[in-house]
Amino acid sequence: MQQISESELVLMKIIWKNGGTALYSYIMEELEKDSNEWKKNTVLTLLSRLIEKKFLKTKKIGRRNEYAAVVTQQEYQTMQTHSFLDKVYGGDVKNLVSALVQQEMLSTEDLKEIETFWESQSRKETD
Amino acid sequence: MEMGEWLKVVLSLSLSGTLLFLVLLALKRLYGKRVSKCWQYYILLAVALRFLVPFSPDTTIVGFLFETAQNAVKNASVNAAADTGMGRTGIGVEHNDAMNADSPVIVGSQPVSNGIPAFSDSAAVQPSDDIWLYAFFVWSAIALTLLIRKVTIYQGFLRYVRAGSQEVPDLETLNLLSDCMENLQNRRTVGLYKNPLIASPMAVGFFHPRIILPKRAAGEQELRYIFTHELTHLKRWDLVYKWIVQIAVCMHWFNPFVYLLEREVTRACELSCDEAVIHTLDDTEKKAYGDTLLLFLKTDDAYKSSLASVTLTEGAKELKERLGAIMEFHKKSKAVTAVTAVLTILVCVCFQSLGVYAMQGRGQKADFKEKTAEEKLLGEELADEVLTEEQKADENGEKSLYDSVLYDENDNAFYILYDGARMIDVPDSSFSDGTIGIVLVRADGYTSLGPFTEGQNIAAQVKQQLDVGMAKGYYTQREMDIALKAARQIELSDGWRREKENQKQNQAGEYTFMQSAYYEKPFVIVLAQSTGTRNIMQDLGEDPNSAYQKEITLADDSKRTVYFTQEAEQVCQAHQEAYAAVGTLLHQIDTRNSGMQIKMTLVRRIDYVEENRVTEYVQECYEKEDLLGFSAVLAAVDETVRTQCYDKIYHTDQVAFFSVAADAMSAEQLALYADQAYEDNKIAFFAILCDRIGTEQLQTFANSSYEQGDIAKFSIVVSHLTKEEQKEWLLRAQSDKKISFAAVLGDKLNEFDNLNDFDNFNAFNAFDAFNAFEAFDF
Repeated sequence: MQQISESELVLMKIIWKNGGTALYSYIMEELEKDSNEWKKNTVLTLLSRLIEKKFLKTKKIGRRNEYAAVVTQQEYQTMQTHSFLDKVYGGDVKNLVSALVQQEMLSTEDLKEIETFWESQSRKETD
Repeated sequence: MEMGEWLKVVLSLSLSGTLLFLVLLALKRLYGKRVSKCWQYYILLAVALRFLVPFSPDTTIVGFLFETAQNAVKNASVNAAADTGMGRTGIGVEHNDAMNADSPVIVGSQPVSNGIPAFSDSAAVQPSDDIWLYAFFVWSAIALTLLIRKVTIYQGFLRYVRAGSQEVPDLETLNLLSDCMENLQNRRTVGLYKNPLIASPMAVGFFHPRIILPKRAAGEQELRYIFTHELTHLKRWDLVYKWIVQIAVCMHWFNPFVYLLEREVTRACELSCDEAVIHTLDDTEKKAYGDTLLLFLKTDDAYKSSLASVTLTEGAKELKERLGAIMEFHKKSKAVTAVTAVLTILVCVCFQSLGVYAMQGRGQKADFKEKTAEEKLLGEELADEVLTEEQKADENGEKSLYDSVLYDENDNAFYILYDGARMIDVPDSSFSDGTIGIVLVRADGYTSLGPFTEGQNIAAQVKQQLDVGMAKGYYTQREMDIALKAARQIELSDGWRREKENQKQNQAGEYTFMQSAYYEKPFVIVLAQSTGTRNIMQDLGEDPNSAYQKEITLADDSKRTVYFTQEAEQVCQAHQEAYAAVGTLLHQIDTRNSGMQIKMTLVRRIDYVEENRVTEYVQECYEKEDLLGFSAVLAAVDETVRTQCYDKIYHTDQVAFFSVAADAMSAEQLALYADQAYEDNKIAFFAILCDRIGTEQLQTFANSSYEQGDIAKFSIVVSHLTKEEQKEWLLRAQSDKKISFAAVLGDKLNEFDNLNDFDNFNAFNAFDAFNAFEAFDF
């Protein structure tokens, strides 16, 4: 999967939020709430880039284009996490977690929660 | 349908395309820079299509030429074979119908498949057919190879460009592009990419158009120009046009003129695109646009080894032309539009009448002979005109003598605007049916010439009148130059003349009249003076019978009959001393121009302006945009007030007033304003001042503009230098490798040859082909 730019991610988030599909007009409406200015050609260009990268596909509804997400938000997050982990921590999760703990970004409760989650996962596997 | 016939069609297309192209090239020498670049660009499409489309009316010049040549060859071969029989009707006639029924030949691949059965059919009969057939195979093989090669190179180039491209992610740049698209009303989605491998911005793609920027960072304004330029290319489907030309090149690979056409189209494409971009820009923006072009010429060292080097050397000469065109650009006047329309019709007629080899023209030979004789005559006339045009150009350098020419149908007069004159300065005047006049309009007055008989050589008539007038001192050399040049242009655009069934000969004699204003304390007197006896009231658009005649006693006690308009007469009634003032003024004018023989004087306007009201009056004139009154009293105004006035004119951008004011300025003031105009980038003011400042200051300006890389100002300054000084600058620019500066100078000195040195760098390179198709390098 290819990387997408920040502006492209803004569009993807709108589509995900709308349940994975959105019409161009809806996207434009949502973008009006954004602090940045979004011009018509800009949006169309970004959407066509997303289609090229296989993040989106289009379906004609009458004369309008409906954009549907090919990649779900979870898939995207997973992919981003992997790539981040590889890039920054050389793929080592332990380094990441210890960094989070050291920076106090991960509280003890969070850690406990992860532990229970982890145990329940491994129990499932042994079952 | 035999294959040899296809080749004949191609050859005839080649011939007629070449002829049309030559006609256009001849015309181009005449219309030069006066016709819009856009027209020059699209008219070349007519030539390209003439090379491609075998459609023609029944009788055509090329068809005739072709047939005659063919008959001559055949007769010779028939005689040689001692075949005294009835003589076959000719290779062509048998296949006549088949050929017309067939669709146009575009590429060589088509006939190969359907031509083979015909081979055995005809080859046995005539040996010359064998040659045609053989030639056909050679031709089609080369044409096909060329086409395939061009397509693969193009695809390769696209891959090359796409591989190195990255999307431009930032929202601002994308929005900027969007903005430009909205301005141009471009509806197709256009992608935006960045590619470090390319040297200058380009637009690619038929179906998914995209603009590719080089790595070099550009500011917002620069990007705006780049986008507008590239989007214009896309909007006009220039790529399709270029490919039409490419097909013509493949098809007529043996014809050197198609390569010239290809080059002309590439050039005209960029020039007309520039024109489209700048037609809404003001002088400062035009300069900025030119700077943007230059920005991409100065490529970084890093790129020099790649294909950028080709664009660099290729671009130098072209860029010279583009920069020149940008600075010279002004909107085309009515007359020019009319000329353009006539030219278009002319080219279309040529397009039709040249035709192609269609083998139908028998029995029409007499007709053709006449036509070609006419053509020849026209050609000779054109050549003569070109010669005189060129001589003039040599005398005056490249600087245009006047700003624009307007033709007013109602007045039947051509107004030639120069020295910053504007529409508002155009006087009312009219010439009767069958005659036309030329009025030279300055910002502060005008000189009228005429009437000239319509339908005869106007340039010759003007020349005659000017020669007589010059001897008597009526005109300055400058006026004469302008009038002659304009007359020649008018002559060339002969087609504007409406067809008039009953042309009335007008017996009115030659005369000239001019209008100027004087301040003869305490009166501002506007005089219209004529060297003819005809009533000038009419020319001024006033009722000829409304003028008052009055005998005026001049200062030397001689008497003269002077006409007064009603308006002027009323003022005189109120101030009886006004008559005496007119007398004093006329005497002064008489002594000033001893040679001038004025036959009729009309006092058009008199304003009573007491000396203590002068300041107020100047102010009024300025507000009413009354340049005549302004020019009369300005010199009488108190020095400090005048200085304030100059300042105001300068800061409110009143170019016309400024050119009047400049005449009243002291040398120091001129020098100061020149400095300021230079600093403020006020090009029009700067140009007016350059006319009036000393050599020393000009050289200083030349130096600083050269060092600052300000080509617009440099170009203005050097045009006021002597030929020797210009040559020195040319040498300096060449040794500094400042290509565009050398180009400006080369232009001024007509020494294009110096630039050819740059061509020598242009070694052949496989990437050379890119220029041909691709990508509109910005």
